[in-house]
Amino acid sequence: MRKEVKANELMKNVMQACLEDIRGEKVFPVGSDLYFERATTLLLDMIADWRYGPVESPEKILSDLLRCKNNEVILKALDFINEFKPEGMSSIRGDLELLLSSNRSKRVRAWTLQSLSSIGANEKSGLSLKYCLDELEMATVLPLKEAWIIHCGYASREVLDLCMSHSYIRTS
Amino acid sequence: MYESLLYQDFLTGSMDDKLLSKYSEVLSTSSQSRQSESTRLAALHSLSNFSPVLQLAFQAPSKQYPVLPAICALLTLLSDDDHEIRTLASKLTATILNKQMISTPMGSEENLAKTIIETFDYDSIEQNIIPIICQANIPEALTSPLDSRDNLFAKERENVWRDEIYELELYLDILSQSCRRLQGGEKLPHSRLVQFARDGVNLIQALPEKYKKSPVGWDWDNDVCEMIMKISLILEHTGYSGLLVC
Repeated sequence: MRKEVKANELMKNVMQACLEDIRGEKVFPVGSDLYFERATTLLLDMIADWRYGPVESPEKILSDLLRCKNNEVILKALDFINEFKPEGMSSIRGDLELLLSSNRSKRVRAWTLQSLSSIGANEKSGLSLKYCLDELEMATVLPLKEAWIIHCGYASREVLDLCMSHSYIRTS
Repeated sequence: MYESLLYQDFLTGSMDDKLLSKYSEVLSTSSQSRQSESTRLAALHSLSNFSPVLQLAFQAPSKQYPVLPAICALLTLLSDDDHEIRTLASKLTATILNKQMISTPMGSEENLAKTIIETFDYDSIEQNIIPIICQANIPEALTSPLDSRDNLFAKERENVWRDEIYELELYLDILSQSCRRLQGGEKLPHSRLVQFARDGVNLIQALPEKYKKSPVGWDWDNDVCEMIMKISLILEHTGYSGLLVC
């Protein structure tokens, strides 16, 4: 039992160290990118099974990963969001929207859009339908086009929101 | 107050209506068989994200939401070439129709068609269904396969799963059943549909002279036979079936 507790403590310390290195974006003479990728995988595995208890909130960890400069770290975090579709993580919406407006690769932008749809199944879209349709017209690569098509459906819900609020106004 | 004004805009067919039309166009284009599988799947996911609006449209038919083009895109995806897309489209249909049991893609198409007739007025049905029927390129379907008789390989269809005749019958059925629900009797067939059928008849009548053989037969192209059947079905629907007597 004590050994298990010690192992858990060790894992938590490793996680914390990984997290701090990613936050600080430490650059090592050799293998920085590989280290960040492995550290991200480790952190995401930890969020997925929640075996070692909370080091920090998953929302905060994902937010830090999304702010990282390393593309692979961001892509891994986005992949995780798209796969697990975590609920109640509305605070990372801001990070995703920031990522979308940043000068990242088209692949990152396409996955970000997908993630925005994944986290916001029951929440209001931050992007208007007009914006999405304009971006769709401007998109030149297929993954980005398809991501905008998907997000258009999500943004179109603003019509429903409008109707709901109107019913509310009429009844109140 | 602001939202109320916005809703008025929506009802009078301004801002949101235009955006929704544009979105519907995107859906309609992306769900076509000529698009890649991933694009068609994206259209389906988009529809899935949009589904609360579709659900609301069926729950409150009196409001007449401008969502019929999006529903027509779903109808297209229910007969998609890809099994996964058809299955997901059936699930989505069950969700928006508020049905507990997921039907087969063909059953879902019939359920969706039935609900369209019950929910939308004839004018909007006509406005959306007729362009789908008339999007077929008759000269291309009738002439190009006959022009290239020396092809070594059979032409591969974009969608091998879809039964085009069944689909057309379904669309024509939606039109005629919706017309029957109209108060004040029957309505004259849409001029575009009549013109489409007339053009088809003219091209069919030109075929035997050119090839001195019956255009419908086992040794002829499937597209040609299919187009001839389609035109005859439309003629029957519009009441101009006498035109096909060659």
